[in-house]
Amino acid sequence: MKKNVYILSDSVITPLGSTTQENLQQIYAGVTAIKQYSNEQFGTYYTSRFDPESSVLSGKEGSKFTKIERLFIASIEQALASLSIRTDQADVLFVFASTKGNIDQLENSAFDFNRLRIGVMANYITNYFNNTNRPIVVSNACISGVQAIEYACKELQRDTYKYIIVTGADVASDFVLSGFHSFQAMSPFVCKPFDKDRAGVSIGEGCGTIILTTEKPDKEAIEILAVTSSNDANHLSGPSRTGDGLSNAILAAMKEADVQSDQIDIISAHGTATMYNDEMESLAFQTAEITQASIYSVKGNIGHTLGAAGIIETIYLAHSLQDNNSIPSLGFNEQGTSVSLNISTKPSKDKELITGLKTASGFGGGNAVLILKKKR
Amino acid sequence: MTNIISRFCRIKKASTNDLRLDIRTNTVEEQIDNNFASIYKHIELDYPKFFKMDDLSKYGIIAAEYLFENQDWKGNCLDTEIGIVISNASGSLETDLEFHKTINNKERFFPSPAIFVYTLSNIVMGEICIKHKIKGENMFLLSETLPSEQLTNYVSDLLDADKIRVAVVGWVELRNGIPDVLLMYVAKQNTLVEQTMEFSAEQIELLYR
Repeated sequence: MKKNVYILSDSVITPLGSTTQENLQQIYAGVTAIKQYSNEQFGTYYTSRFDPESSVLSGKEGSKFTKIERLFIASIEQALASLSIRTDQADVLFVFASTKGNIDQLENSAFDFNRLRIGVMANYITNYFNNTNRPIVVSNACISGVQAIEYACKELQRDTYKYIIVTGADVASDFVLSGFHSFQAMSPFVCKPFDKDRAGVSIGEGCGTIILTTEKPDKEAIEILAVTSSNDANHLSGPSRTGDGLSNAILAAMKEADVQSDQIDIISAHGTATMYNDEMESLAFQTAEITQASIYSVKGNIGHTLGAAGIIETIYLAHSLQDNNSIPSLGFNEQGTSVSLNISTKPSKDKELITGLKTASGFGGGNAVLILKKKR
Repeated sequence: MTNIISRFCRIKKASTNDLRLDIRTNTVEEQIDNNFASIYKHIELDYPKFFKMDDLSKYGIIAAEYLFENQDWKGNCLDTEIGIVISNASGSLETDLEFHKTINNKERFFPSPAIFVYTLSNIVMGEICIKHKIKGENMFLLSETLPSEQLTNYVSDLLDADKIRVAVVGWVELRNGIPDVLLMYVAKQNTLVEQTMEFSAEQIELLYR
């Protein structure tokens, strides 16, 4: 018998806010953390980046840890703060999601090269929390975050662990910015997901952490009904033109969750604001017959946070269900996909939100889909 | 119901003093020069895209060719019923260093999109998916050593829950130009196969040895 998996607590740290609540206030208010920067190599560009003086990055253990490691530690501590979980216990497992880990340290010749391996980096974090279980690290490009949750849900079914701490982070390094620049995929303005005039991504950074368990919390709780993945097997750096990979994953997730298409109330799309991604998603939503749902992307607020995106955006979605408030899709003005979508443009409490769906797609052809449900 | 390893391919350095590669499958045992042009010819690969790939992806593609050699390996499985779960320790670190060379000198700043696309751990898996039309569940794990138990548990869950019917599972690591690969083709017991091994962490460790 399959056990239910619940979100016990969470934490989001982005340049938009240093707690989940701060993030949500800004998200509902339609605020963006994406700013204009310039550098002599690639001129003007837009990204969501922490102020180097930011207090979230200068914890007491600051000097011993790198930027991404400090983000992980700060976010995990936040998620643990309201709970009495002891991370030194054998029934607690850490699952990490990151695409590039400490890649910003590649320029630092004094840095321990081995720590560029994300598995090694993860050990530094679990050691900090005195956890001796071998950490799991998911690194499947931009679907890493959703897949770390997928891994954790399966692991919880086996009853080996009572609590799984799922945490995802990436930093907006010159490495990644240069790469997207070389692809000519960076938006020349704050990115505009699903809009007619969208012109590419804005890269962001941040960390999201959720703690999962199979014990139902007493209060109203968010249950993870299903998580699935698929591969386009089509192109490394571009999505399928038909959206069949994503629609397959959506249909498989709805089947696993035993949810009908008209029951999906709200969709947190991947919505990177590239021409191809948003178009592909609209086709997939049509194939899965879920275009009636209220749809949004938060990339206009926090940018594309890469390996962290799936976790941060799942947390936003969970709170949107609990707040019964639909998240507005910042940057959207005019329909810009061949399938007309029901894009959310302002916060709205008009409709009861019970079931939410989250999508993600990434380089390497991967798609991942997660379905959440509010349980009273 | 137990799941089985119906085929495998192991690639490693022949020995400390031998630069050749030791390749072992259910039916093949050979040593070949660690040279992509000669391997390409040797395995009669007809896939010009191969030469555009980074080295990690090339070794993944080579291992997959050995794994599926002369086999109607898909049987009646749909592409979406085939899963793939790959792991390694170094991600794409060798290619990350290549890409870094194109951006670390401000006077010669010329980032290459052709290299950048390979600076993700999972691209080798994406290349195998494209070449062999694998469209089901996919997962990439980073681990300091072969995560035999995690691979077994995760893939068994997918098979037992009928989310996939067969899977390509394994380890594709590249460090200092030396590949260390184990790919396995895993299926449910009731799928028609000639030779079988139990799909278990112990068996994976035996094949990896």
